Amino acid sequence: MTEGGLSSDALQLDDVNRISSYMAKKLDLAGAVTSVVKFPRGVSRETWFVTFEAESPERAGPIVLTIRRDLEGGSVCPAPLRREYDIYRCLGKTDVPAAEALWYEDHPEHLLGGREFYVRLHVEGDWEVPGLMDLDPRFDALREATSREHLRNMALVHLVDWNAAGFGEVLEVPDSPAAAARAAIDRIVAQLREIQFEPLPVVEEAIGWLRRNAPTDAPAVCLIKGTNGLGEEVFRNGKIVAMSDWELSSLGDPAYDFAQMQAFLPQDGRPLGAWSMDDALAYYASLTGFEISKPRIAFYRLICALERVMYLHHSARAVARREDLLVRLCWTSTEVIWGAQRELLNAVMAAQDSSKVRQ
Amino acid sequence: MRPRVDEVMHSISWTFEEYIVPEVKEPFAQSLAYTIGNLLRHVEARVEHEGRFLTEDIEDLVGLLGSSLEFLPEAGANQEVSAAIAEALEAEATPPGHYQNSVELSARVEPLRAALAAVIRTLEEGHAKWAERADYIELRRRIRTHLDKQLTAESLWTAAPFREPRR
Repeated sequence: MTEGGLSSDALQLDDVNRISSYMAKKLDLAGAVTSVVKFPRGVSRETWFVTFEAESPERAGPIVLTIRRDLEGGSVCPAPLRREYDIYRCLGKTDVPAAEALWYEDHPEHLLGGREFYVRLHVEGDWEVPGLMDLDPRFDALREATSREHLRNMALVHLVDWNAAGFGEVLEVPDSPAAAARAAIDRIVAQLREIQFEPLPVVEEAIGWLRRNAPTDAPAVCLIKGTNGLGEEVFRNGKIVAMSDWELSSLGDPAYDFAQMQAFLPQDGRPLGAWSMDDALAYYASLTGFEISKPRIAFYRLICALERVMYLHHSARAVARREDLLVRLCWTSTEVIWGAQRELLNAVMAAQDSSKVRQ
Repeated sequence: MRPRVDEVMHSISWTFEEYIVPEVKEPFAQSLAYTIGNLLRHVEARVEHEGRFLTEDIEDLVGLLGSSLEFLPEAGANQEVSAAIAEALEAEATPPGHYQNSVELSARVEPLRAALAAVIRTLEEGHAKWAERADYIELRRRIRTHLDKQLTAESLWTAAPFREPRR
């Protein structure tokens, strides 16, 4: 996607013979790659589905693999690809349903299009939940069942013994539950400072306000999935068979995950029948013992907005420096980053008009 | 020359939506085509509005930084930030004297915004000390009003032109 080109001998995904030979060696199986398909929706990184038709005595038949690699100018999310792979490796030591990470490739001879990548086993299923967004009341039961299924799995994530699974070596560890929100803000600001290439006065104004108003009543330091909900998990027959998209994962307050939950909570403006937000929070508390307050979720939505600004600023930089000219980055670094800044400033200005919070 | 740049942009955007997008069937290319359609409308609106906004924004920022320069030394803030503000204002003291396009205006506004960001950081550092001062509260209110005005103006090209599907 840059204006330059690659050397002609770089391994490419459409070079079926070389990809087949590479995969056969890595899998230690005879066979060939029969299909390579790019997942069209991804924004932050590239996702490819590769089908390897095994023809070995010990194993025959299709093996579907998922390949993840950065965009040509790097990932939208500034955390390294290796960290995402390490998170999947750690997840393999837990009960959380997740794809099995197979290997990380950084050998110069095997880079795909000159880029490092990692491979995981593809989990058959669908990110869509047919009927979920249909407002007809006959889908209310489906919405409630989906919400419960997702909360059950989020509870699994939040109850992970993250230290035992190795997450503490991959992710920054807050000093205490009380320090979790402030630690999240500081982590994001530190990432922003590393990549910042133009002044962002709206964000400066928001950072101070967020730090002064950070909640201190987190119930525990938990593994946080990051983006979750519709579009981020793999379903099969109404059950979650894999939780996907871990690139924004961290350690912190479980309310952080509720702030990033897409479409599976009643407060998203779509009715879930009789299933209310209070029901959902009570159900989650019954599974985990963790109380999640609505004000804390609201605050973490602002932290998420700050995080969006940070990583979308990273994509703006890639375009400005012509490191990656994929047009999608122009969209995220115009409309989407504007929306995040608007959300932050609205909160600061609303607080200014209220005597209830420290200005 | 007619068609003007806005008229050419509109023609490109309309033709792209009408004839190109419906023919693109490969999923990734189709997704990019949707994004390009949105960004063509973004550029059309940006060409129309951004230059005027940046011209006004520079004036506003000069006024705001001038007020900051009055408050900060009097309140005992460190001198570095005041020097940075003074430097940014000095660069603005001599008008370019010729027409500037929006790219050049953006380059002019950047040091002023950097100075404003430094002001905000300094105010934040002194918040506990100055929080009850009327001039501090007024300066922060003015800064927030300015930022609100900036985002409202930018919405003309960063929010209004976009519609589903984005990708």
